[in-house]
Amino acid sequence: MAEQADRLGANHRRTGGTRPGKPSDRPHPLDVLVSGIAAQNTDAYGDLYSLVADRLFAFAFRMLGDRHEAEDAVQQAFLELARTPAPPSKGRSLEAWLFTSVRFTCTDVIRQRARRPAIPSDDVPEVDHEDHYDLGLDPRLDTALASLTTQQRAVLHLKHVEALDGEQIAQILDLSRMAVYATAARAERRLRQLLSAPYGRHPLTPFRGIEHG
Amino acid sequence: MDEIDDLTERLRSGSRRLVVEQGVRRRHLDVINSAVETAPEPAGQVIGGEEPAVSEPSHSLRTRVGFSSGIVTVAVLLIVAVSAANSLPGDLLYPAKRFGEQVVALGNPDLPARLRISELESLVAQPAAPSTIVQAQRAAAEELAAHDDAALQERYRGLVIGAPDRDGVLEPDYRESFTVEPGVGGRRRLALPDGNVLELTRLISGRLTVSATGDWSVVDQDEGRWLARSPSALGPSPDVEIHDRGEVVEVSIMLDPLDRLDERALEATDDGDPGGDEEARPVADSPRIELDSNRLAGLDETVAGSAPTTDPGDQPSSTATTQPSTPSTTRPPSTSTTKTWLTTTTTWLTTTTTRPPTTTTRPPTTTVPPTTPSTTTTTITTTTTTTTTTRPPTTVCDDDDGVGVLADDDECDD
Repeated sequence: MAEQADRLGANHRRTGGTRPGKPSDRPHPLDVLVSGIAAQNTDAYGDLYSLVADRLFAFAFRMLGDRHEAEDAVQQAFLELARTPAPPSKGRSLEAWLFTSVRFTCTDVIRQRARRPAIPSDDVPEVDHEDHYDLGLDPRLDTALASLTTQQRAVLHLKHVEALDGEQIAQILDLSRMAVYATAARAERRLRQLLSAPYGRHPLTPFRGIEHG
Repeated sequence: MDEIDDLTERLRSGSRRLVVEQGVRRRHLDVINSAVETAPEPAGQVIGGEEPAVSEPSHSLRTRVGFSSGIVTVAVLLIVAVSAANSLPGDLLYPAKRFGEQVVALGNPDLPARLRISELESLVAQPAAPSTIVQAQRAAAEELAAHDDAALQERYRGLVIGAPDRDGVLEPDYRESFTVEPGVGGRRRLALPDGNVLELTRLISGRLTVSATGDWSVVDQDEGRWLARSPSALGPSPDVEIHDRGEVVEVSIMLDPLDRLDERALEATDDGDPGGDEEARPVADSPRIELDSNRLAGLDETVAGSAPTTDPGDQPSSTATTQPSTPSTTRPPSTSTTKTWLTTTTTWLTTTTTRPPTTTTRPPTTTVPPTTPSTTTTTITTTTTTTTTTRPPTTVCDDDDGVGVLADDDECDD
């Protein structure tokens, strides 16, 4: 079961989630795990974690821009899944359920940041640039993404990285499909402008925690 | 498009390195496994295979629940009983009414009969479906049979639809024809002239059955038509024809019963009967038949149809034209025909005083008293004095062949 799920999951990641046919008719790599999840099987949870934890972490990191908060959001999603009395009965629904849970957690974190009192500039801790460089990310892309709104970053990530369609994105982000399309269009246009501008001349402010030296 | 594809590739390549570290992964899995093991069991699963413990309700709680249930039950029964008090046969609550009635009838045995009569009155007043009324009539008749109450009997008689006193009496002195409506699931009993009873029953399926008491039997039967006859009847015993015409049944007497008397007279003559005078005997014995028109009054178990039977005097003209079956000139000539003819003519004169003549050649006479409808027994009397005085226009004369024919005086002279 785990091998089959790994194979399907690896294929899903390799192809960027792009598969032919109607989404609801296609087999989902998580379909083999839903019964184990419903039965509270720890092995099923382990397999599920190995399949989707990195994707959830990437999504959370794109929304939050903070590694530790993103990791906490992933763990929180699995804990909520373990506590829910009626977990989703289909792999496609289970995947959407996890992404939605991460989005809720990220939204709560962002709201807590807004309520957090401003820290005097003298007390601002030094940013560990080495930690960020260890991720091997594209600083120019990250700087451009940091200039977008959280919702725009989430839409771009789910569309281009997770290769989800408009309906799935709308379900996860609790938006209408037209809002998803409009948000994606504006975000792509803005990102294209920022990436095409000469490096160092765009008026971007680095996202919190993603400062580049 | 290329820029979008390039953007997609750039976003994907930037996200490939976004993975959870191994240390964090192990820590997460430990937390998740502990959360799964301590999470509540899914619905429908029994922990450890043990039956869930069920606490027994306390004694006070059981008492309270039982008391409340009793109050609710009694209240519901009272509501149903009150609601069913005025229900009629066919209503939803009528069975509840019958059930409660059985309880009340323990102290009031006449109650069921009164209720049945009241229900029958209500159904007739609506009016309800004929089948419902017939069923109600049967139920009322059963109750009345068990309780001899004159007032209720009178109320019931007034409710028996279509059963006036004169219905069902076959007067054999002429051809009578009238209609009877047994109704679906109904039954009509008709008094025959000799005292027997003809019973017409309309089954639920719509089929009509005919039966008669005594030695009456159905001698001929066709589709929708019966011919009943009593071969050994001592008194007037005409053939009775029954036609099923759908909702109504037409009952007719086919033959003047005096023909039978005449035949007996002929047989007596052939056997050397002392009264062998062919000229005098039949005329002297011309019978006068008086029938009881109230005979149905004694048939308490008569189940009438839903519509009154047509009064013979009110018969439509089409029916009336078929009535006369008395002497006909087409009768085959024979030596006995003369006597028969005289006899039947006399009979016609003595029994049809209240009825207009059906042929124009014989004026009706007024010298014969009408039949008395209140007579309670069937009697056959003979009149010997009216024959010669009441028939001036016609005379019986012999032709060359010795056969009696009907003719005027001048025709005899010719």
